[in-house]
Amino acid sequence: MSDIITFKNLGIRYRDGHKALLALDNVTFSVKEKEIFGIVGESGSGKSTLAFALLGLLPENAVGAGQIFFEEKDIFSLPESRMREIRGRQLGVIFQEPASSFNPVLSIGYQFRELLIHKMQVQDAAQRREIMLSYLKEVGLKDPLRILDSYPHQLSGGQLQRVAIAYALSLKPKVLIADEPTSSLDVTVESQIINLFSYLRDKFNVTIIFITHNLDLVGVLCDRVAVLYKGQLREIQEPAALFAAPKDPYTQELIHTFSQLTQNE
Amino acid sequence: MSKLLEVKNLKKYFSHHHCLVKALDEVSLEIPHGKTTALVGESGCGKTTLAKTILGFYRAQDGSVFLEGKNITACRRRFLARNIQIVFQNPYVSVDPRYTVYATLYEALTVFKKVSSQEAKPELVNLLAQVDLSPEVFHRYPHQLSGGQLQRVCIARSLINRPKLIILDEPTSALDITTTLKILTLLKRLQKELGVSYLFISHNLKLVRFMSDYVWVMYYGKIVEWGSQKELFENPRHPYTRVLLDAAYQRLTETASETLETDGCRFRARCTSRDKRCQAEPDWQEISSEHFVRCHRSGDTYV
Amino acid sequence: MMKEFRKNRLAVLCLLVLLSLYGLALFADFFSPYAYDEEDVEHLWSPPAKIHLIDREHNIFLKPFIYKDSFTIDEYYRRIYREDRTQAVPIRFFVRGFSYKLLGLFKSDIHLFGVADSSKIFILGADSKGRDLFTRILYGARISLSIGLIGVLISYGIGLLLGGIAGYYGGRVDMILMRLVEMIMLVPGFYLMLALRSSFPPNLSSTQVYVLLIVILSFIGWASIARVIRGMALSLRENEFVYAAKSLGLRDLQIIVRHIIPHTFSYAIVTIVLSIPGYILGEAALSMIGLGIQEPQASWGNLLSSAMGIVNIKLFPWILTPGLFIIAASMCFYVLGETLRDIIDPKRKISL
Repeated sequence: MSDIITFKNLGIRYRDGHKALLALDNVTFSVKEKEIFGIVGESGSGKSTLAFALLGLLPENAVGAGQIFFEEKDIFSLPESRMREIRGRQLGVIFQEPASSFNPVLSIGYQFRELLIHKMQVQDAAQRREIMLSYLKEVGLKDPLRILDSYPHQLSGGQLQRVAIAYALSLKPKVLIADEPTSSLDVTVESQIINLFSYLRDKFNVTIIFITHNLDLVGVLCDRVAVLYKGQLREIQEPAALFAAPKDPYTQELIHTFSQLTQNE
Repeated sequence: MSKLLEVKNLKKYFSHHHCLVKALDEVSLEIPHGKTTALVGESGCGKTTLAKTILGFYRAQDGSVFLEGKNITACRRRFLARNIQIVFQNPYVSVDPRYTVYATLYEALTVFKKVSSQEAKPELVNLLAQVDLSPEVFHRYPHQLSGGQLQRVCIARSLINRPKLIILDEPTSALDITTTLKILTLLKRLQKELGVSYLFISHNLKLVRFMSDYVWVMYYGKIVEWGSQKELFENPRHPYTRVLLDAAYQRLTETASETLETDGCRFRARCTSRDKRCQAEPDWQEISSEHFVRCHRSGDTYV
Repeated sequence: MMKEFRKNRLAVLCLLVLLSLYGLALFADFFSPYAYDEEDVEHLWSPPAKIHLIDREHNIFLKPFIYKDSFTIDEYYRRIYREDRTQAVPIRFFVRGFSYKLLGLFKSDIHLFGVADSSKIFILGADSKGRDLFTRILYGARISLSIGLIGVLISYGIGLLLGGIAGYYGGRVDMILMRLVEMIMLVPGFYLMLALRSSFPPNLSSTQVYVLLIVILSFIGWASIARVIRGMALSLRENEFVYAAKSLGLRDLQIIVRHIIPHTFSYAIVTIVLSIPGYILGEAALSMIGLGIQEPQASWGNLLSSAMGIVNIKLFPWILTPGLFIIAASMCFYVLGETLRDIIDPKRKISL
């Protein structure tokens, strides 16, 4: 499999008055095509900054260096106007808080329609409807007709996150970036969403970058895992190897902590 | 087991968009002295409502709460404050952002004690030492502390008037895994030192297993199973408990539907092994002296 | 925050204007050449003095001077003032005049400027009784500007507390207080002002009238503040730190005062500043129609009462200058308030 995304010497600082806060420090790694790639780290590790950098959504006070290659093109230096075409269409994204991705006063169906018209140029109403229903079914929503007529507040967190995934997939992205997509959901829903990601990767041939602080999820879902700590890339491994024999001292501590919590004394 | 707190048939209904939500439907619960009792369930199942009703923030429609045999359902806030405290999920919103750590702790101290700010200092230094914080943090504002540090401040604040029970409402959900372990270890140590009891509210069964002695499982306003930690984790009898356990240990769960029943067994819509009996409200079945379940099929054997 | 404020030139200018207005009012005795009630039959309706630096022979003087004036009476029995170009009267600074107590403490008789006793200087003209308008505007500023400040502080105190209580308790308390608020807001403000004023005896001393005006304006003003504070309290009370305070055993009033009201302060400052003009205008309106501050006491409002007739405005346009002061003060408060609002952008705020 070939590399679809490569981070090369990526360094990002946040300016804060006269100080500069180091968020990412010379990070280099690649994500392969059709891989589910996990990025693990605690808060402040720079994992979200990595996602924002990839999507071209860094805040104004961020100063970056290095390159991000997406299909051999450096997209890190692209202007916002070009990035807007790539974001969504090529790089789909799912955020932690599902409710924040929706306009609360428009129905799910209306927002989905707008998306298909403007981003995918699907002008035929019947065709649009078919697309919408099929994607909602794919993400495991049992009553897609009702969902289309609902407003965001009428759906549960898990349902909303599924709809968000359906929106993202309908644009046929090559890469799906999921930034803590299950952190605000119940455990029962979380495990369902995790399984959904596995299924979708096989069904839609999409590469998934899965950002989380939860080692549990990484173990079940990911093909490879990168461990970030204070902006540095500490280790890249397959999950089984990571849990069995972590090389980096920080990873060792993390795995140790984790096993202490999970195994009963 | 000697009871510290006993909740009896507590009812709390809310009306929401003209429909009645039974947040607590005849909930009964017991909390023993000096132990950790866990209350688990998904969000919206009534865990937090129960905590807030025990603390007197909400008035229950029916039922009562007993503290060491005394009915405290209609007790004054100051009496409750001496005995029951709470630690919330997100430390950043559970302290006033305009107060320094010192001011926050001093305010809590002066509720029952008249001391000047200077006299209070040694006591507050001790208190911080108990939660492994140095007095350096006294003059910081909440936003200048890490989540773990601030949660320690909240724990210190809850300990200040030596309560008998501390309600921990998802105390680590907003924290990293390494911080979580440190906080939970701290809480365990404090329990050993001070003999305080905890009501540990969580939806993460792994943490519950790590922390608690007793576990109560709640599903939409009803307690469906309770038992000692060992029994419940080794021999879960209610299908909902098994769903929670499967999810916590990343085993795929299949649910029939997400709809909620309002009579009979609430869980039956999601239950994969339901039958006719489930139309009726299940009663408590004894599995052992420290393990009870509310399921018609609890006698059946599971694979 | 100070930095952002300083960046806004207009706001800084407005702040300076306001500070100088308050300064002028505070030290009115010093800045004004005459006493506010000093009448002069020789100078009824005297127009604003023309200040010169160059005399008839094109000599340039370093010190400004005016010409002594005299009047003739025309066929309509109006006075026509004319400068007497032969008699220059130099303007002198730091002259001795009537004695006063600066800030009520220090006895003094020094005034910023004045002319020799043989003549008089009216830089903004004189009124129907020959009183210096400039002097009266400064003394009027004391009343007009202080009514705004004191009035808004009192309204704010009431609004804050009642709004905080209504929002914190909710339920029946909220219901009763908010109906009261609506009753006050329902009646048009000006009408309510008139009604309240007329419910008190007309012949009150000037101090009594002053206090009464503040009471009336505060009584009307607290309602809208209480309503907004109530909304904020309603959402603030759901904060976990309020629950934490409750569980610690703090009393309700302690929670309201320590943990609810302080969170409304940033909003409060903006509202206070934005509502001061309302009080200034309220006072002006009442005094202008003769229900507020009475002669010989001056306020910006009652100075304008002589400008109510079109004939007076046509003949003596300078009597409108108090209006310019009202406009300037109000505008400055508005600009200041809007700037503060932009800086304390509610969208940028914390977990309120």
